[in-house]
Amino acid sequence: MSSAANSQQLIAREYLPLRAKILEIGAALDRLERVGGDVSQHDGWRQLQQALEILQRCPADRAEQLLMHFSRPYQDRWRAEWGL
Amino acid sequence: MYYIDPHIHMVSRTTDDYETLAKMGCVAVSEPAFWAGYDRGSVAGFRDYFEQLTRFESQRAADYGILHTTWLCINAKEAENVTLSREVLAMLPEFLDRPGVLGIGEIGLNKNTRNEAIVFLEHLDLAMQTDEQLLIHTPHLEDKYQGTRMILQMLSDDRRIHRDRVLVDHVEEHTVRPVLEQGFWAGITLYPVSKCTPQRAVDIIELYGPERLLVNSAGDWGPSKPTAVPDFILEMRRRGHAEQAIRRVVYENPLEFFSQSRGFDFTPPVN
Repeated sequence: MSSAANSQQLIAREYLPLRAKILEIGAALDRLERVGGDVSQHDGWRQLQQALEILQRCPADRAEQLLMHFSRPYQDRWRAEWGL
Repeated sequence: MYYIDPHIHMVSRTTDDYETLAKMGCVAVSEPAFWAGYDRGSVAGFRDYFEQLTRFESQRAADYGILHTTWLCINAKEAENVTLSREVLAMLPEFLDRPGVLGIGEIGLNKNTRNEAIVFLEHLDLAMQTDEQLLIHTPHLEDKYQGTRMILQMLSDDRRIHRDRVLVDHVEEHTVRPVLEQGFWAGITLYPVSKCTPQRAVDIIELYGPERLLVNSAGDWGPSKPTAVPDFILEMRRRGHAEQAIRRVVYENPLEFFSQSRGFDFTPPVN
């Protein structure tokens, strides 16, 4: 069930909302920098930096890849380990 | 367009919200039992809550022409208390045959702990003994992927479960595929910040098709929007999807899923 809109219609619709979202990211990063201090060791900060790299690196499935990046891993022996 | 919100916590909403939902085309809602924002202190608190869900709330909805249905359980957050959970589980059968009760839910995991898994498995066992449908909550944020996989594992390990009678809710891009591939229904929750936007929900429908997918607002006492399903309808229309395709997701799919429950008694609106 593909989108009924074509690429030109989509970019026309998405340009301003995307521009606004990217600006919000830039402004939030500026805000963090302005208050000073070092956040480089904060887990969340590292995750955000890596997420920005994923956006640039992944050719497709960006949303899924980002969600996996922010997820705890699964290991399939959990029931045996917990005696369940 | 008529629609059904298959997951909304109306006890947390005002009567004005019922009026707004009715004006926007909502003809039925289903309300899973939920965490109240604080841990209840005793089984008596749950009894009162189940009374509210099965008697008072249905009348409040009916005043606006909306069918109110419900699911009962002790939710994953309070399931950490196994003793209290077992007391609630022992009481549940008293309520399961009341009109409008669709099954057991929203059970699930919250922080993916051993106690939560124990109580989840005991809910599954009760549902199989009483022939109930299941509505399942998957965890938030970083716990969602792990918790969803754990839930799918527990469901798959129980051979008594009919997968087409199970709705796994709050799926996102990283969890929708395994839920659908394993034959379960999947719910997409339109929820600000922590779950899915209407735009991403339509993306998921476009990628996976409308089969066995529902969308809901999960409106509750926190930041949420009870009219989120109409937002989804609008986004589908803006992308040029046919009215029939939209109706399938927001009306026919929930009807098909709920109709498997003996407690569902719905009269479609006259066109």
